[in-house]
This record gives sequence, structure tokens and C-alpha cells, in this order.
Amino acid sequence: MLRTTLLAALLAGSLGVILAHPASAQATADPETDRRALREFYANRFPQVDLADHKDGVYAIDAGAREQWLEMEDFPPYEIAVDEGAELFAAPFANGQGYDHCFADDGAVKQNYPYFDEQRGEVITLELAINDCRSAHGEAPLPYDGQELATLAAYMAFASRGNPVAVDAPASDAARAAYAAGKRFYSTRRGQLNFACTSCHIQLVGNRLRAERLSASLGHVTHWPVYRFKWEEVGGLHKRFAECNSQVGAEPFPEQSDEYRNLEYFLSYLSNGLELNGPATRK
Amino acid sequence: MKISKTLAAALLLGLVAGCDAPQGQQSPSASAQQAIEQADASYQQSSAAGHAWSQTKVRLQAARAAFAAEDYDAALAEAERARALADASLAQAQAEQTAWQDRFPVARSPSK
Repeated sequence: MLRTTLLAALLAGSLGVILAHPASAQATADPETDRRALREFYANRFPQVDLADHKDGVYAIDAGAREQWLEMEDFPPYEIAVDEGAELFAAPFANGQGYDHCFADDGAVKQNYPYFDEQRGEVITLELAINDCRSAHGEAPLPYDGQELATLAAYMAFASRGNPVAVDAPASDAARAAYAAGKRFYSTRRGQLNFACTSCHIQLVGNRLRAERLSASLGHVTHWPVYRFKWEEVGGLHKRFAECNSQVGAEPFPEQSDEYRNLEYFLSYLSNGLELNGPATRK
Repeated sequence: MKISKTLAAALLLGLVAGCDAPQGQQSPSASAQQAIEQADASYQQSSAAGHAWSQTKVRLQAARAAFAAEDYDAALAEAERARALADASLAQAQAEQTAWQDRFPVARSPSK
């Protein structure tokens, strides 16, 4: 009984610290050093893989899966989503304007997302920008877990193919804090299985978890949205984040939550320079 | 003799009354209700810390369902499981305050 009381008191005390003081190390994160460290880590872990090939995700490090994937690319299941997304992108809003008033180059702009908006003080993802565009033109925002937004993003990813990821380095304290929050999320163990993103994608990367090969984080953002056979539809990166959290027994955060946008910002900066090749197909 | 009988009767009465509602002991429904409230409070704390576990909510919902069905033993057991999970997730949140900082690779080569 005494032990239980003591434990409860310790937990209550530490929770106060958790809620009141973010970790001081957040302020010291250096994005370019992180990017260099990650590239160096994977170069040592997978010496046979050219770093640029990590744009293909797990198919860069698993020859058998790569062979299957290349065959799937002959008739890719995301093709319908790209076509539908192209039609949606071209369709005018009620005010006569359209997405091309918000996005240059016919939507081939994915390489610049996400970015940190200094005025709003938050990370803006492509999905958020699509809804901002709609709101600016008097249209209702689309649900983040819906297919209309996923198909629009699929088209824009397709239009952006071949462009290297070009996420701006965090320039302000607020932007660095968002990046650091993403890094912290990536490195923090969660859920009943006590897994961090780093558990699978750094510590155990390249090993198998049941039948699946664990992918590298370099290139994690290059190919979204993705048609997953498990989902039987196209879905975005945040849907996958939520799935990862659920798989380790953690309650997932909502798509486009601060947590997931900061995580995307962090991961995207690390993949700077890699070619976009979305949308893609995954199991 | 008369005094002894009176005393015995009084003791018996007291014993019966005590068996019916021992001092300091809650009814099964009150115990279950309290356990559910404690588990929920712990779950809310873990959620606020960003470390809620999905099974905690499942166990809490099971406790509430059992309570609604007036199965107070099951409600208490589920609530205690939920509380244990929530407390463990809070301990995880505490440990991760600093532990996360050592998990990202560190560059070995000098910057160019």
C-alpha cells in the first residue's frame, strides 16, 4: 500500500514536470547535423545502397520486394487516384478560380512542403495548404481522412515527381522548436509495446518484423500518398503515422495534428535532396 | 445473569449490524465507481502527456459497461487493469523525458 502511494506520488510529481517543462534538448537540435548523421548512419548500415536510392523506401534495401514492386508499377493501383485528383485539381471553385491560383506549376510543388509559416507559427503541410486554398476561395475544407484530399495529393505528388525534396531549414526559434518537437516525437517510446520510431527505423532497420522488412527513415516522405493494399485505397503519410502508433499500442493522434505535422517537418528536412517519386504502392 | 444476557444481546446486535455494513468498507458499486474514477483520472493524465495507450481506453470502456450491467466485480477488475495500464504509460512518459535524446544517430565524421 505504501509502495503504491509512493509510486502514485512520484508519478504525479513527475507529470507536473512533464506538463510544465519541455525538454531543454529541444532547443539545441541542429537540423543539418541531424541530416548528415542520418545519411552517415544509413551509408554504414547499407553500404551497398546508394543514398539517393532510399527514395524507394524499403524497396531500396530488399531485392525481392523491389522486384515485386517494379512489376506492380506496370499497372499501379494508385493510377485511378491520380486521374481523379487531376480532375479535381482542374475543376473550378464556385467563384470561378481554382487550385492553380494557390499552387504554381500545375501543382508540382510538393517538394516545398511542409514549411514553417512564421506568421501562423506552425508547420504547413501540403494537405493543410490544400484546405487553406479552399477556405480562401469560399469552399469548405476537406476531411483529412477522406479520399478527395488523398486523390488531390496523389495528383500533386505525381506532378512533382523527379523534383528533389527542398524543405527550407528552420530559420527562427519557433521553426527550430517545431523541428525539435518532430525529432523528439520520432525518438520517444510510446505505447504498450514501448516502441519509438527509432526502434524500427534506426535500431532494427533492415531486419524483419514478421514478414515485413523495416525501412530506413531516409526517404520516408518521398513517395506519399500511397496506395496500400491493406487500406485498399490511397492514404497520406499521417494515416501511416497513426497506424504506426496504433501498432505499438499507443493512442494515435489526429491526422494533421501538431504532433504529426512537426514529425513530417523533421522527416522531410532529413530527406532533403532525395527525388520525389510518389504516389507509390505498398503492402 | 440478567446483565450477562443483556450484554450478550447487545454484542450480538452490534455484530449483526457490523456484518451488514462494516465501518469503512464500501459497497461493491461504490468501490467499482471509485476505481473507475481513479483509472479515468490516470488515463486523462497520460493522454495530456501524449502517452495514452489504446488498451487503457478499452479497459475503461469495459469497466463502465460492466458497471452499467451492475456486474461490480467485473467493473472493479477492469478498472484496476485500466489504472495499471495508465500508471505504466505515465511512468513511460516520465522516463522518456530524457531517454529520447540518446536515440538519434550522432555524426562521426566532421562537418564539411
